[in-house]
Amino acid sequence: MNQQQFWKIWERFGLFIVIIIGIIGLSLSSPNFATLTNFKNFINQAAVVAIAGAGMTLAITSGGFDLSVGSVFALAACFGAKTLIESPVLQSIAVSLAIGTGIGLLNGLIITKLKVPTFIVTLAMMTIVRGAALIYTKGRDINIITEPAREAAYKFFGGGYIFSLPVPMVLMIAVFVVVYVILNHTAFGRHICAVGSNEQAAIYSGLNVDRVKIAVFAIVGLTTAIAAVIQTSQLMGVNSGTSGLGFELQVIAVVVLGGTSLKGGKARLFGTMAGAILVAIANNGLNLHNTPIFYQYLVFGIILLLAVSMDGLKNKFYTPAWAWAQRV
Amino acid sequence: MKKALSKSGLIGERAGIFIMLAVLVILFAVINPDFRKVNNISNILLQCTPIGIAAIGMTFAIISGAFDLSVGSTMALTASVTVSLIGVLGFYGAAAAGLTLGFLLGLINGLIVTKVRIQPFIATLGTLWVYRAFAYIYTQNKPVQSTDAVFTSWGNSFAYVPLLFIVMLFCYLAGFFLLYSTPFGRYVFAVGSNRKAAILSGINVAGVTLLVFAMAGLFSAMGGIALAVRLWSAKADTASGYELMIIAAVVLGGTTLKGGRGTLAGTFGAAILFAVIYNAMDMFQVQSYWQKIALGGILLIALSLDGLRRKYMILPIEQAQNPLKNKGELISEK
Repeated sequence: MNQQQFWKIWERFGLFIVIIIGIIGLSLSSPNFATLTNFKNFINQAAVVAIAGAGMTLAITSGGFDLSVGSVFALAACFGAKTLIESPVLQSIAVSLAIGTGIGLLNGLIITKLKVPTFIVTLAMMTIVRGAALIYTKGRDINIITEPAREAAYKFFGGGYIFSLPVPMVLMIAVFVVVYVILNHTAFGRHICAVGSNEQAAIYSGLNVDRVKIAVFAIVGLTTAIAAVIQTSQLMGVNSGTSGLGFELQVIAVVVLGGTSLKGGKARLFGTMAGAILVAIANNGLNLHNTPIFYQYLVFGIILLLAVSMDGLKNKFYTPAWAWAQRV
Repeated sequence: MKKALSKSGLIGERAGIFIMLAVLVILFAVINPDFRKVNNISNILLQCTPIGIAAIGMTFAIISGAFDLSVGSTMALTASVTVSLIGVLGFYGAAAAGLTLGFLLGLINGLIVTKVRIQPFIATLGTLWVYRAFAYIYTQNKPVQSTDAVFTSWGNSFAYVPLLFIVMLFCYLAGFFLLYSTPFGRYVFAVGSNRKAAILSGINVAGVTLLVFAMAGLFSAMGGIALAVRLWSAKADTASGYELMIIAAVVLGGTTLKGGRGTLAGTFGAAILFAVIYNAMDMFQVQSYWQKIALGGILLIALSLDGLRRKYMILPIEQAQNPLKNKGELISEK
């Protein structure tokens, strides 16, 4: 196997190989790892990050990113939880999804119409939406206590089974299939890539760049809200101050880990899912070995750096140094 | 007419932040008698120091087209190390150790960016978690404190001017000198505005980037120590989320995230502006939840004005010079 073949295989399957090595290693080192309950644990954890990551993959492909997802996550969860206490399940979920999509739309509108940099808009929305969540709940925890039948129905989304598969996993796969079809088999998906790889060219070829961006940010909000519903259903409660805190950077990291380029124009959708699963497995393994929670930050950071270093080394073999320096 | 427009646009860019600062300060001072007390002004100057100092390094980084997300974690780690070493080395020894550590952490960021060739955003996103984890591991998740006399005396004031603010002024003077009066400063602008041109004209781009990151680490360490001096303690979760606040201050000061354009004076003004707004919101007893909304809103409004100013004042002029340019559209910035 020469170098070129190696890097080709690495690019396609690298993350999956690492995941398999991780699974084998953890199965050998901890008897509790390869059990059905534990599988459910880490797939639930992975699904929440992966679903929000699917939306973020689109945003990064279109050349932007969204720092407000952590706060949107909290606000959607708070509104959903409070609605659920008095109203039917479907209404609660509709409220959550509407909140997420609405704030996403607002992000997109401010970015495109007021010409404020994406970074700043979503950063400002991060604090604004967090403030709104805290005001809405008066800073208190919400515990979902309501009719038993309704509670059971809501719990289905985070802990139920469809054909003996965990519901979060089914939802994750469904979201990824939909986003995959959008990205690869619709004009809108092509437009996202076009805007991300060369915005100026996209404008000249007559694309309505603003509309593409607004739609992308709305999708980010929607997927974030789906993730929030799943987690709220698992915890049956929400804390407006800490829910989703730091979630934005985690989601962006998982997308990058999956191989989507921050420069835009190139999506690696299923890489995002693999990245989320890898991080969930690593965290799960650390939990099983009773390490303090902050070692998870360390491992997370190191995984991210190693993954992108491999990418950096790969590119080093193909491109001349000055072209490289340009890209960095 | 066009010339006048472009001139006023330019003035808005250079002085906008100070006009906003002056308007707000006068407004608050007129409305609230407590705000204009000398003690309160002195307090504001003290409050702005951690972010103000750390933002110097970030300004260099952003002008050079890079980015450092790890500054908050660097602040926490260096502050924890400094405070814990005071008992052994005395304050000055501990501070020297903390600053060296900050410099090294920044250097590591720079090496990852230039040698392994990872985009600054991702590289420092990774080290954000790694440095934060080191802070937790080092302190074992317990706060570190010190009541050393030299350490706490740096929190005092000299004739109502906090010593830390004087330190910050000296840092800015050093920053001004580096950015505007040395070849290094020119290189920072050159690398940020056109990296390829900078390489082709023989600038050691990797070296400049490395130094910029090291500076970001050094100034973050100084900001972290300033924070510790104010609080007499440090914790592993000190300054979490500060990276975004610091970037916001730099951008509010008129530095563009694209690189190549920016002012250190604007950053200085923005750091004070943040402290003024926080202080005034406390004065008017704005609930802390509403403070978050107000802060985000101010950031949005300030930059929307900037975006609209670019759209209606600068773009028409550029288009008049080059009719093909941008076809009536502004390429949005990340």
